[in-house]
Amino acid sequence: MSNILDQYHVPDDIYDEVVKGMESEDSYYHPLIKRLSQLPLDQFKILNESAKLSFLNQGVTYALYKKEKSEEQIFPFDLFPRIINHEEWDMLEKGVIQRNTALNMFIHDVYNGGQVFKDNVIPERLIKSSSHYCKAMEGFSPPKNIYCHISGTDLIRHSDGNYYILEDNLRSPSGVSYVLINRIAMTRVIPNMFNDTPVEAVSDYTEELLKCLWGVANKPMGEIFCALLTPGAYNSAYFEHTYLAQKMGIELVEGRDLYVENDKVYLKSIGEKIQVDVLYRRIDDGFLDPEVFKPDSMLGVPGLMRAYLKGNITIINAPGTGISDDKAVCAYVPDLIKYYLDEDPILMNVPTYICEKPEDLQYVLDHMEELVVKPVDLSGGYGVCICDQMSKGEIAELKEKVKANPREFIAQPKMLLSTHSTYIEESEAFEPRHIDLRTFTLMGSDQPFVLKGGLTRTALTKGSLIVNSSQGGGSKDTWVIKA
Amino acid sequence: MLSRVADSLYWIGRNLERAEHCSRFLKVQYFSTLDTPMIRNKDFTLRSIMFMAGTNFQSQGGIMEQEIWKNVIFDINNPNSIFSVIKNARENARSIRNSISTELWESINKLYLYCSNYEEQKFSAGKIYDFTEDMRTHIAMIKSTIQNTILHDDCYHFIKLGLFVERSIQVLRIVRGKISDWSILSENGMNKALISYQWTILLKSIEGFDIYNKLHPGKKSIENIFRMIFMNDLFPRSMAYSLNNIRMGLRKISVRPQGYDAMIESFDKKTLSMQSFDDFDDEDKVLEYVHQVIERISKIHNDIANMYFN
Repeated sequence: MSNILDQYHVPDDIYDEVVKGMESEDSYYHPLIKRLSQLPLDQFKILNESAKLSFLNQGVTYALYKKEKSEEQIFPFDLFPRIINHEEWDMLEKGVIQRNTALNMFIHDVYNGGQVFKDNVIPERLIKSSSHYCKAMEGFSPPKNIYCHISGTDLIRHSDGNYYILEDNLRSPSGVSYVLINRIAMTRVIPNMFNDTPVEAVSDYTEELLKCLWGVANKPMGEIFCALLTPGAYNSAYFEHTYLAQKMGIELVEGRDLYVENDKVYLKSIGEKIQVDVLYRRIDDGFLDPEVFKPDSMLGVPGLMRAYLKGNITIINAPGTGISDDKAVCAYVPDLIKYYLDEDPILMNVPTYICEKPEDLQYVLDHMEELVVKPVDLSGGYGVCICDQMSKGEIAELKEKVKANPREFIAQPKMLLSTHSTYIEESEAFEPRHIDLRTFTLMGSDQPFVLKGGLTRTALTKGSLIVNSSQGGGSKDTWVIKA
Repeated sequence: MLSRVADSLYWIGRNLERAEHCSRFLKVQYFSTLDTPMIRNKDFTLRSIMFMAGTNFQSQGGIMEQEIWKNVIFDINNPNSIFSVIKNARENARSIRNSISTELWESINKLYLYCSNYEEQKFSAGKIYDFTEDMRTHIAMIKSTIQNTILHDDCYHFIKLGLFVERSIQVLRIVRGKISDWSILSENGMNKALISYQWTILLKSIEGFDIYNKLHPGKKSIENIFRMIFMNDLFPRSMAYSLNNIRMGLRKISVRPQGYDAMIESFDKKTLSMQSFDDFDDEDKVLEYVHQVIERISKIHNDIANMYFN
């Protein structure tokens, strides 16, 4: 019998999840490959199409920016799941909880006295110069001192076989709905595969998220009114907003659906007055409240920050958490873990050169050809420069840009993301493609919760290291094996 | 319920009903001319279709069929085209998709995808039947999910309100259009058979032809036709049926803002007075009556919008 990996070639310097995984006798990749190999290609193509159609019909689409007209696209989805074994997951879970706990303490510290600056762990200027620093939050403590209720932590596996933190997303991490939808598509299209493999469920996420919202309300259970604030139907993540609101059974609102009266936030409803207690916002800080941030924001609610600072509503995530999304700050996280928790970091950082530090800047300028240069505050893969793929002229230009604004850039060695076998439509074959992993951590109820799975993003272009959906990446289901 | 949500629900109902009537009218009108008791007059038919679709499309030197299809079915820049109306229904549903059932959203989205994937260049008169049948099936499916997959609470009643407001308007538009066709034909001295055939088309356009024949076998009288369309509250496309349902919907909505009681009272009074109309022989009076009812419905629409959506 032929095997789908017969023609599967991985370059020597690359860590391939499937190939390495199968080195272990009891890996669940064995039964999975067997199942997939039993499927004739025609059959697989039909399954692939039917998965795509189910996404389209459900409207699981995202809008791409920067095109002439914004178009709805399905997020490319691959039927070959990624498997993470139990021991490895255990380590990842502990690692992201540790990291996000420390980051949360750090944010509280920054806005309440800044002991961390006085103890010289991180330069105060680096934080206060961040465009995400929120002056309005100074001296304010949100319920339970939780700032980052929902964090998305991006991890990669390098060719040395170790996981590294690529970046933290503590503002409004997106993508979790794809995890949930991918799983539903998998169970519908290839139910048999779940019989062979004890996969951890992901469907409890929305319940945990709701518990998290309830956990930080200023009202007793049963009286709490939660709403999800979306920028509207044209936002790229609108599907996710509706999906989460619907699964939690909370109201989905736009800024124009809310108003503030006596520093309390209400719904513009057809009937009685309804006060909002917890607002899971999916719009950026800058748009939240035109009275405090961008005065021309049409997406926000005038007076929302007043209500928040009076304790009349909880905003999730808290404004100002973006300071720790800053890629320059990322480099300090191991120190922050040590400082706040007195523990060694479980997960390593990708080594990061902070261009603002003169010695790092010099290194970056001297070795730029080997590095990846990133703007500190852009997400979604925008502005990432992989220098060994750039021309001399482009590099010279980038050097000038970095020299002119060193605070705006960091650089990292080029990390060779691991690859995973992925079905490629053009070649009608399984080929290795680079992947990463976004985990989702919730803090708000009694215990931190990490979604057992996460979003495995795949670069669909051969050799490409950029996995972001905004740059044409896709995703695959992530199977965490039960203990 | 959010005002914005109520607004969108109402417009889901209106847009769906509008798409249904437009596509059915297109089919009936077109096919009716292929098997008529007189010489075929295609331009007349096409003009009638345009009139119903509410477009002021002008074409140089005769009406081009393909241009009409483009305008009435496909053109997204024409807010009254069938595809525009469906796109709107889908946008309404998308903007509030967590307030409606997954099944309802998916059925509306499927219709939208059917339209957006439709290859306009391949459309011709030979495709009209299949196209309009597909529309009918999709919309029937959507209406069934409205009926069976959402709570029959305010959410449901706002959709139904929109649906029946639109139905009454569309039926009135069709009637008005047919009266106009009838006058043009009479003035041009067309034969009687052709003129009376317009009433057959009218009945077919609202799926009332078989029903009428059952009620009045072998007897086609203008008065009976109008009575059925306006006053027979057992006929689902009649004015009486739509108005009863609008009234019922308004009464079932749990929220009664200021002005609600006054609106219901005036609604009851005026609707009742409409039932006493009797001058069906006088074409001008019928037209005037139709205009009055259209105004009445617009007033209801404005009242609903002012009370709930603003």
